[in-house]
Amino acid sequence: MTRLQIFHRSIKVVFIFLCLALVYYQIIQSKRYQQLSQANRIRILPQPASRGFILDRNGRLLAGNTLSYNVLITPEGTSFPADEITRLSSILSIPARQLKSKYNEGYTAPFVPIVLLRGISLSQAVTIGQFKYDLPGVSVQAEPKRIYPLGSLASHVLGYLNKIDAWRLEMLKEYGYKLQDLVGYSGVEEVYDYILHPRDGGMQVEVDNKGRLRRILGFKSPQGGRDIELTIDLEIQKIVYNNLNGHTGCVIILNPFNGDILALEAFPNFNPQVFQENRPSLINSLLNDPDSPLFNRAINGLYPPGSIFKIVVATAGLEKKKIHSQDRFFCRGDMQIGNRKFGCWKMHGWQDIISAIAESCNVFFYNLGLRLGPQSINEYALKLGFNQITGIDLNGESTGFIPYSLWERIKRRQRWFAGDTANMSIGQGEVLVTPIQVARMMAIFANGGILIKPRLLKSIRDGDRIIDFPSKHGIKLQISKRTLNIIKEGLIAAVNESGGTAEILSDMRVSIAGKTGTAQVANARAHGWFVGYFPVEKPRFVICVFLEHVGSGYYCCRLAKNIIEQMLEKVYCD
Amino acid sequence: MTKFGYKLILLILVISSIGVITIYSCTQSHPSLAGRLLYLRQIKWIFIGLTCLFIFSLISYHRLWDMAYIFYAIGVILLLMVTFTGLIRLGAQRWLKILWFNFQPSELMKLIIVIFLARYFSRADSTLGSRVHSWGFIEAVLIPFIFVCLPMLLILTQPDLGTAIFIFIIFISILFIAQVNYKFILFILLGIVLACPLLWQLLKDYQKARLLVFLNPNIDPLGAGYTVIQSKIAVASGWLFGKGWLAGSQSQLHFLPESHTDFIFASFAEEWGFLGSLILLLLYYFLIRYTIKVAQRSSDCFGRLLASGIGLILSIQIFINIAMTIGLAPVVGLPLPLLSYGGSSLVVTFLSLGILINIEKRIAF
Repeated sequence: MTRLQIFHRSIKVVFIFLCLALVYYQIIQSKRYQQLSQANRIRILPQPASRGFILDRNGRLLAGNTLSYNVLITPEGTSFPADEITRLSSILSIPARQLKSKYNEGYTAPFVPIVLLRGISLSQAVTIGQFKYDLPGVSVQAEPKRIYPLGSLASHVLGYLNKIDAWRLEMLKEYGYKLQDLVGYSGVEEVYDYILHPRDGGMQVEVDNKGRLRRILGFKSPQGGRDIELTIDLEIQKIVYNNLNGHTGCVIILNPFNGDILALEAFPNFNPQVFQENRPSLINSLLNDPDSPLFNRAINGLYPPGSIFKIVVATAGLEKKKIHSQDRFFCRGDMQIGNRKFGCWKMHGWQDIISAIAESCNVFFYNLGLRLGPQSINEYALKLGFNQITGIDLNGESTGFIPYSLWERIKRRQRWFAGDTANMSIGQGEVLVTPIQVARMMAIFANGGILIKPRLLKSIRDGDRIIDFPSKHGIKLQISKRTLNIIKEGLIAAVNESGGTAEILSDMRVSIAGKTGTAQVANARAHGWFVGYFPVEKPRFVICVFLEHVGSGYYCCRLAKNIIEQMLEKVYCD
Repeated sequence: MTKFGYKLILLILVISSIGVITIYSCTQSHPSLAGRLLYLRQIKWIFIGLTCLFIFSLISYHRLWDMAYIFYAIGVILLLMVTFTGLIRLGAQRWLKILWFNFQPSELMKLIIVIFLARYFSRADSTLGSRVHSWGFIEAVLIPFIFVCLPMLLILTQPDLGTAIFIFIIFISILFIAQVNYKFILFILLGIVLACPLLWQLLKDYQKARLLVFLNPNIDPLGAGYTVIQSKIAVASGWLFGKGWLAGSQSQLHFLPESHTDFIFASFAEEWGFLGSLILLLLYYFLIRYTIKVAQRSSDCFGRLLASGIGLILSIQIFINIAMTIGLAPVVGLPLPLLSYGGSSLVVTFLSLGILINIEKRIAF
């Protein structure tokens, strides 16, 4: 074979090799590369829609939207746009270093816009618009942004928004949520996110290598989220907010018949706007604050109920027929149980059940509790809604805890002593409740024996249509009218009789029934409770006031008095 | 003109028409009017090329034998002129302004090297040069290498690594065809392998980057690897029938750089698919087979080396260019003969085929 023949052979081999390579790429691998080619030329330009409004029960705005302006830069090729960055830094008065790091963070590919800065002012946006020809590649995009016009008011009801995180995205992906979406992290923003969340629209466009639009391939119109109306009454909420401001604790006002939460405020609170402003230092200070302002004390806080729990013991005693309304115990100021002395806060003398509720006599309830035993108290506590979530439409509600002897045995490997029963009878020891549970229990006596389900969502507005959200029917409890009336009498006496623990609420334009509580805590001042309802004749409101470490329930009565007075002035006029 | 001549002219006109059609498609969305009319300039070059083809098909190739060293000298002078007065375009100094057009002497140098080497190895006798394999190393390898080195180094300084390497490959291949002793060729190849680490040090950064990208385009997908990735996407997304003329999104929307010059095969393959590419490859194969046929039938050593040298220029450029568009060869600035836009390459290719026609004509006598 001559060398020319060898040359000819090798040419043949080379051409066959090229043909095989083409078969591999153009036929076998073609599908994959066709997709890559599509990805090259097709861009989705998102058209952000706005999140639904949150309104109060009368249609007043609690959370809305405004337009926010973002600065975008479209990198041309791989070179760093140093000129534009310097100019922008002088217009926005932000160090170029910061913009540069944003640029490097956001860079994905040439011609894909990078958000350099969110939420610039309108005047800055206009300035950038004027320098348009000196700033090629820089653009300003308007985007709806959440605003909370009332600041931190009702923050624990509303919750806050933040960028979706990995596990939420995993969970919500199939409902059309995307990376970079804002989702509710607490409050109704979280619970009703599926109603409020906007469905972003967008344009599918064909672009060239510079990202310039060639033609529009498709369009999906953005769909704003739907508005929701809460059961909150803004007027009452404001009154509550102003009175509670500065304290640590919470106030809940609800309708005892349908469970509508008219006001719910917990302090310390936070301003949900902070999460929209992109200021990590403020967010971090909220997250690391030892007072935990993001913690909703009204539904998550677990506290001993103190004397409030006597209502449970009294109900159990009457229902289990361990006591009659005329039965009396003598209070000497303390009582010997086992080898320990259990105190009362005062020497009450002879007490029947009504005066014992009114004057909050511990000795009476030690005796009654010992007659009932822990199992019966536990049973009635559960009946009145403790040790279970109330079902309010907020996430992460605590269940609380009501001890029972078997638990003591199993968990603690200890026996249940009579002293434990005595402690339980006055709402101390292991008993833990949430303020919302206490408010719900009071509603039972206001509405005549129905265990309601508190709710925050009143209706959904879909365009012009208003879809009312029906309140859940409460559970009619098996408690006799007689028992309810006796307890009610006790609650009324607590306010209206001299010596009643809530006496300062007596001289008001409206008649009030209620019960105070002072919850002892180890190594700190006691928590204070007041829970009641008004007007007595035709109950419309249940009010629960809880303050941390104020020493006694008296302060809560005073706070409740101020709130009710202001409500009478502004809201409740008949 | 013989029957063979007409067939060859028909074949190269078909191939260069495919080129014009593809250039038209690639440039029709060009922002400037001059850019959109590039296909007309290519047609003009085809006519100039045809003229050269006819002229050189009439001049006896034995005249080239006489003139070979003069051509060599002219080629080197042109390259020197590029080095000192050349135009700088796309970051490289490769062009020379002659009269009204820009000319790329390195394209011409490819042909001159072939003529020079054919002349060198056929100097002993004009019959079959069978004595070459008995030449010593100095005579058979070293002396011609020194002559090849000079233009190679000049081209390297432009800088145009691709063409320089290409000329070296031509050199080795012609040594092979000229019956130089096997051992010498093996010795050179071994020497290159051993010199690789040293040569690597001499490369410029962007040249190193291109070679690294060839090994793995994804190390720099937006920089050096961008072209290869886009070109692979263009070729492979064409599938069996292609996206259709004027409908290749990679070239129409400018994702593919150099879509009408070095990467014209990718543009063509995207729009015409596997079938189109196969037909193009077949046409190229026929063209090269003609050169080999002529070489085999040529009566003298010079004609045989010249014809096969022309075949080598075409086939190596075709292979490297197509392999480069599908990521099987590093990105080097070699055009696809007859298809890529560019006057120098086109005219030189036509010219060399004119020489081929002349060689074929002389066989008959």
